[in-house]
Amino acid sequence: MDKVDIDVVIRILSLLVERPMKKTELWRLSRLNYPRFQEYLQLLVERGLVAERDGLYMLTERGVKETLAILDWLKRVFY
Amino acid sequence: MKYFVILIFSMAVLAVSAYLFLDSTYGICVAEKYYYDCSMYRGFTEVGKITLFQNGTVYLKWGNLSVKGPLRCVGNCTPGSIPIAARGMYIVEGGRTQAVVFYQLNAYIGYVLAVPLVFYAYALFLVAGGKLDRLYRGLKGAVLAGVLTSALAAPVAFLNAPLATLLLICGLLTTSIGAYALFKIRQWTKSILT
Repeated sequence: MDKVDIDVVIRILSLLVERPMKKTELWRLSRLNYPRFQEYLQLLVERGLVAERDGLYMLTERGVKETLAILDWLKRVFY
Repeated sequence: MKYFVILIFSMAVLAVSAYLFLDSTYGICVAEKYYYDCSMYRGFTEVGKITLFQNGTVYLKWGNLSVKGPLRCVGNCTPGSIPIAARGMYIVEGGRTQAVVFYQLNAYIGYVLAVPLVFYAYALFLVAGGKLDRLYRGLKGAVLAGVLTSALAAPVAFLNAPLATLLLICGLLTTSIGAYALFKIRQWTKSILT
């Protein structure tokens, strides 16, 4: 992937930190076209942030840790 | 101070400013050699006319009321001597009446201030959700609202300097904290992808 859109990465991490999802549901909620969605999903899997198990995509232990750290920092800025 | 509080405070400042500009009376006076010719407005509507002569004679027309009489002024009679609750009296020299159009900003600026106000409201709505994506989008909305507020402080400065200062402080505070947070989040996300 040439240039990573951080907004998209944050959107996918934000969806998966809520609950594991089927690929089709995650695609629909990501608001991306399918080839682009595939690229981002593959990127996140390659970086060890997302994993697939029993047809569901979920954050890995590292994915949860990093996403929650970002969320906590943002919450501390806001509230 | 927490960003949420800054957003609410900025929104309140914008709302009060917009209300003041839309609801209060203001006057635009053309200074001729021996008199001031003032038109009083509320928003776009002309609500009255006042002609003030140097010797203190005043001619007032307000709605159906029409009065001509002496005005007791301390020192010279100026539009500031007229005892009415106007938010601002702007004086334009007789030869430069094209500047009157500039002061008509009073009528428009209240509506223009509603634009960043909507962005602040949108940002607060998103932030209230507390989810990562919504907080991030709220941050972007807040930065945009801050930039708009800072930019609008410039035309407001000619009409109401203290209000413009307050708007500039709110806008710069919102923009700087929001831009820093956005930058940090983006750097952080990039770093976990490498």
